[in-house]
Amino acid sequence: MAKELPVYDTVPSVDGPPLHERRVALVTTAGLHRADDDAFSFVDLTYRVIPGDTDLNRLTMTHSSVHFDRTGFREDVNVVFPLDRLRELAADGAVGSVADHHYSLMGAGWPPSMIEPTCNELAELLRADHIDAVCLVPV
Amino acid sequence: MPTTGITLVREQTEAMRVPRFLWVPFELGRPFGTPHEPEFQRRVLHHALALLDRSDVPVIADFPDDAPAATPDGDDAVWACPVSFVRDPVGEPDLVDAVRAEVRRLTAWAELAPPPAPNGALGLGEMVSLLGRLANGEDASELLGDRPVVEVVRLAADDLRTWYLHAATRQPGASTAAERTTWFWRQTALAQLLGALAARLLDDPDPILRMFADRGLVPRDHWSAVVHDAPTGAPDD
Repeated sequence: MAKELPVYDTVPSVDGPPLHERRVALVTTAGLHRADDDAFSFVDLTYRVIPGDTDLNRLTMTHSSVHFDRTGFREDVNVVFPLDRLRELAADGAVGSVADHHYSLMGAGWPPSMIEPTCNELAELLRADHIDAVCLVPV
Repeated sequence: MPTTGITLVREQTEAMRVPRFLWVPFELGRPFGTPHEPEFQRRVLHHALALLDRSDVPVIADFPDDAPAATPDGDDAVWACPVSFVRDPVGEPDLVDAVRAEVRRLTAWAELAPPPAPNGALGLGEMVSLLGRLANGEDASELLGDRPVVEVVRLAADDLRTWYLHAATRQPGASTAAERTTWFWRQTALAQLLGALAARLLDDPDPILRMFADRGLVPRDHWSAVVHDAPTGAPDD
């Protein structure tokens, strides 16, 4: 996995309300999407929308990396994309609420600068959904 | 936008200088540990979300526990796939036939639980035919249809590999994902076929196919075990 990484001089960070008041979205780089959405291509900088009420059994994975196996995801989507667990934390009152929309990218091989325009678009969408906490999830 | 997250690779996360991340000691492909362990998964997620209250950034916290074993067994012996593929995978003239034999032998295991739905449009036999024809430099146009070659081949290779690994999870004995992956790449004819295909596509005129052959068919850790006739100069890392 060694690759040339960019150098960052700053740590951009903002605070927010206590966790039990936050509205939380998941953003995954696992190349997930609903089965009837377009598959991710081998080289793909786009994103897919995962509505908050999605039946997780409808999700599939078309990530292009050959470096991990998909059987964990096939057995239980929550081992990659824990939307059920987030719903439970919200039901317990540990987090405020769950976003109406979550997002999926295919995180393989691109330098951060190439995916930045897509991420800026996602940030605007998350703001419009009144999100004040994003959990970034790899695979 | 306040963010937190999970990382499986600490070095890259440190370099990105993200404000808050939780490092987890799990296998790639399983950032929340183990399938069907909801309490454990919830704890991982809650640990990551709790970092949102931290303002002493950047912070990369360590999750304290290993993932629960997928199969409660307690046996530390190295797992070996009970289905034995008796053949010399290197130099075997009929590699495609060997893959078809593997598929027949694994089918009983794969069907013990609903096998994963393929992402591509091809059935198991068609996927083997496609990969075999392309590895042998033969025409496969009726299997490719109008879609980009790289996408059809990528999904076929991914679907077949996942089907094999799914079948291995159904067999007796506890095994980790890493053990099953090693079994796949070191002991199966399909891995040898994927290696032969990678070697073939590294010479393809299409630069996307060459990049796919270099990065998208065979993991670096297993490259030398399955790619035997690669053109000189690739890959180099």
